[in-house]
Amino acid sequence: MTAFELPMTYDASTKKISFDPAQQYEDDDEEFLDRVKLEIKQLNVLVDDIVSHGSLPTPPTPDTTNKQLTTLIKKMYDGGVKSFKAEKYPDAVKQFSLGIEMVSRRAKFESFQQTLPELNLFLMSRTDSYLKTKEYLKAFNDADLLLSIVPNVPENYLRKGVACYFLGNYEASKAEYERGLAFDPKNVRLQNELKVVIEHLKTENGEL
Amino acid sequence: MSSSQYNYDEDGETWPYFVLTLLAVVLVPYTYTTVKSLLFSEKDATKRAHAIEVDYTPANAAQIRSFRVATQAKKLLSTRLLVLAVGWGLFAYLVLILKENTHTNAFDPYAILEVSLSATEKEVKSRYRKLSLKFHPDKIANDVLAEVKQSMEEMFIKINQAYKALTDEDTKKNYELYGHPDGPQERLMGIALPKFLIEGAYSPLLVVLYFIVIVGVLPYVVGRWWTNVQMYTKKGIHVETATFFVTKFVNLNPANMVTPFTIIEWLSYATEFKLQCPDLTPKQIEQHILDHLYRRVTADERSKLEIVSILPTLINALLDISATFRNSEISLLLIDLNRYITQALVPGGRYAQLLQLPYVDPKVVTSQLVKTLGKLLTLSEEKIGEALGIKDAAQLKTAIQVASEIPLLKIVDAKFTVPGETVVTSNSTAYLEMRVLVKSAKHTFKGGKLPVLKKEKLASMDAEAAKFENLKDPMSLADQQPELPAAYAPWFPQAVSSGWMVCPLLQSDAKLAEPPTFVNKLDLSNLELTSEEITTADNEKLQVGLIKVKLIAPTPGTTGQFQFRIIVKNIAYFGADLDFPIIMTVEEPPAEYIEEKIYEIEDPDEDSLAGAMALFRGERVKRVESSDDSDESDFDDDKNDGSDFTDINTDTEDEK
Repeated sequence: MTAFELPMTYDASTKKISFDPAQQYEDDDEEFLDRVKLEIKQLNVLVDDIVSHGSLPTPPTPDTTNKQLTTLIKKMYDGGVKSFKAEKYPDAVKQFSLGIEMVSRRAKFESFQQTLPELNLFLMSRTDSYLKTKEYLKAFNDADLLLSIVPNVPENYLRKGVACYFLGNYEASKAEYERGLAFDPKNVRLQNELKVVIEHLKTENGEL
Repeated sequence: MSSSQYNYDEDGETWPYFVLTLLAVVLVPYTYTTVKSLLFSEKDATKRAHAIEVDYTPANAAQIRSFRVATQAKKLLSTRLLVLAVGWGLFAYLVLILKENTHTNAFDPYAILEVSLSATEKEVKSRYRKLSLKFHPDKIANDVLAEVKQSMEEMFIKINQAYKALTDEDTKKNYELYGHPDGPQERLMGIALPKFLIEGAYSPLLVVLYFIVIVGVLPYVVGRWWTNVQMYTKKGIHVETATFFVTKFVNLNPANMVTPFTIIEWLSYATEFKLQCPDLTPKQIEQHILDHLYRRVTADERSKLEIVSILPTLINALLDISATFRNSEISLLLIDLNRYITQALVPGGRYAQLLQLPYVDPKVVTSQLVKTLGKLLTLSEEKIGEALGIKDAAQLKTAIQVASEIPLLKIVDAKFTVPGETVVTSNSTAYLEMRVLVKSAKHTFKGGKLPVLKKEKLASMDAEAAKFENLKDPMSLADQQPELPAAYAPWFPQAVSSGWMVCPLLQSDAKLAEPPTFVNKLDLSNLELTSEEITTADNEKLQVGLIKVKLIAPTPGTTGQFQFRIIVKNIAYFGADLDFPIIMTVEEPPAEYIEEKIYEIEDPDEDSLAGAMALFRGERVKRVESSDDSDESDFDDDKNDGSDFTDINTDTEDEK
C-alpha cells in the first residue's frame, strides 16, 4: 500500500470531518475511496451522537442504554403484536418497521448487547408479518438479516425457508429447513415443512 | 597410449556415437512426454462412452471451428515439436554417417564372402571359389580402367583374408579374439573431436562457444524456467491475477452481494487477458464475456472465443482461493458460473435446465411452467415441442436426445468412513462415501422412490470395500470407474470436461468444511437402460456408482455428532446436482467387533433428522419408518395457506 494524503478537513464548529473527492484518482481506487467515505460517515455519526449527548458518555455497559427509549420500543412492539393477533398484518408491518427505525436511532455508543435482541425481536416479528401480507421478498431479506445476526435459532430457518418456498425456490427452501434441523433435529414444524417442500420438488421434477 | 600427442577424430569415426548418445538422452524422454500429451489430450474425452453427440450448430459454429483448428495448429507448431523435428533429423543424419563408416572400415568376413553366419566350412569354401574366380587378377579383362582394376584386386585380397579368417585355425582365432585376422590392432586413445576445432584456427571459436553456453545460455534458460515457475501459481494462473483475486476476498464487504456478474467483472481484470489481448480494456473483455453468455455473434469473434476459452482456468483458480477463505456462497456461485459459461447461458432464472438443450426458443421456454428435465420428459412429444418452442421434428428429436443423455444423480446412501475402522474415530482421516444411481431424465420412478436395490448387491459392495487391497488404497474402488466423457457444450470454443464438484459444508456456520473436490469418474451405463429395466427389483444391469472424497481435515478430536451439508454440483450441466444433509458421528473405537452395526451414521430410524433424510432417499428407508408416516401425513394439508405460522409469532413473544 502506498501512503498518500487524503483531502480531509475538520470543521471545528460542526465538529465534522469532511472529505473532498475532487482530486482525481485512478479507477482502481474507487472501492478504496468508498470505504474511506463510509468510515468517515460512521465517525461523524458517532461524534454527532456524543456531542448531542452533552457530556462524555461512560464506556458501554449493559446499563448505558436509554431506559426511556427501551420502554417506548417495548410499547411499540406490544402494539405490533396486538395488530398481528387481530390479523391486521399491514398495520403490524408498519409498527414493527417503526420499531426497527427506533432501535436503529439509538445513540451509537449504547450497549450493542442490549439493543441487538430488540432488533432481533422486531425482525422476527416483521418477517412473520411480511409472510402474512405475502411480501415474500421482504420477508426473505429480513430472515436473511436475522440469520446473519443469530445463526442458531431453528425458527429463523423456518422463516427463511418459507419465504424461499413462496418465492418458488424450493431447493433453497429445502436447504434452509435442513440446516434448521441441524440445530434442532426434533423440530416438528421444520420436519413437516421439509416434507412439504420435498413433495413439491418431486412434483416439479415430474416424479409424482 | 602410443604418444603424448592426442589422436583426433579426423575421419568422424567416433564423435557421432558421442553426439548420438547425448541426443538420445534428451530426445527420448522429450518425445515420450510430447507424444503422450498429444495423444491423451481433449480428443480422447469426446470419444469416451456416453459422450453426447448430436447434430446442432450454434450461430458461431464456423468461428468456433476455425478457432479450434488454430489452437490445434498452435499446439502442433509449438517450439516443442520444432525442437523434436530438428533433434530427430540430426539423429537420423548421424545414424546415416555411422552406417557409411561401418561399411568402409569394419572387417566382417561373413559380409565379404556374402555367406550367412551359420554357413558350414563347405559352403564357405564353395563361395570362396566362386568369388575368387570372379575377382582373380588373372581373370580381369584388359580393357577395364585402372581404378576398377585396383579395386578388384583389393577385393581379391579381402576375399582371401576373409576365407582364411573362416578356415585357417590361427587367423580364425585372431578374428575371434581381436576382431581382425591379423591379430591385435593398435589401441588408440583420443578426443572425439576433429583436430581443426582444437588445434587449428578454430580453437578460439570453441572457447567462445563454451563461454557462451556456460555464462550465457545456461543461466538464461534456468532463469527463464524459474521466473515461469514464479509467475504462475499451481493452478496455472498468473501471480498478479491471483493477488488481485485474493484482495477481492480480503476486502469482501458483507453488505454487498456478490453476483455472477460481479465475478465476471473481477475476471475481466485478469492479467492473462492483458497478455493475450493487450489492446482490450477490462470493460471490453467483460463485454465479450457477456456477449458469449447472451449468445451474440460479434464482429471480433476470435477475441471473444479466446477470452472465453481461458475462463474455466481462471474460475477454477478463483474457486481455489474462495475455498481457502471457506466462502461457500462464492464457491457455489463460481461452479454455477462455470456451467453458465460452458453452456453460454445468462446467469439467473429457473429455466437453465431447459435452456441448455439445443434448438430451444428461450422466449417460449421462459413463459411456460415446466422447469426441469424430469418433468419435461414425462410429457408427450408434442407437448415437449410446445414447451421448448421447437416445431421441426428432427430438431425436437435432437433436443429430447440431449435431455435424456444428461446424467442425473440420485443418492442411494451416504456415509463417512475411516478405512479399517467400524466407526468414525476422532482425529483420523475420513472419507465421504456416496453411493449414487446415475439415471436419465427419461427414467421415472414411481412416486419418486428409488428402485429397490438388492440387499445382497449393497452388501457385496460393502464387502468389496472391506477387502484388504481396497483398504490399503481407499480410493481404488472409486478410481476403477470409467472416466466421464467431455461435456456437451456446443457454444463453448473448446472441448470441456464434465464431472461433479463435491462441496462439504458445515451446517453450524454454513461455510465450506473442505475445499470442493472434482470427481470425473463414474459409470454412466445406466443411461442405456429403459425405464422398466431400471425399476425392476433385481436388475443385474443396474449400476450403483461410487463417489468418494478424501477429507483433508482430520475428524474432530472430540466425540459427538457433527452436521454437514453435502452439495454435489455438476460443472457442465444444470439439473444434475445433489444437496443433502448428513451427520458425522465421531465415536470411540469399539472394544470388540460388533458385526451388525457397521456404520452408525446413517441409521435411518435413529432420530428424526435421519427420518427426513430417509424421506429424501425414498423407499428403501421409508419402509423402516412406515409407522411414523401415518401420524405425520395429516400435516401435509396446510402447505399452501401458511396458516401454521400464526404460532411463530406467539413463539417470538414468549422469548422476550
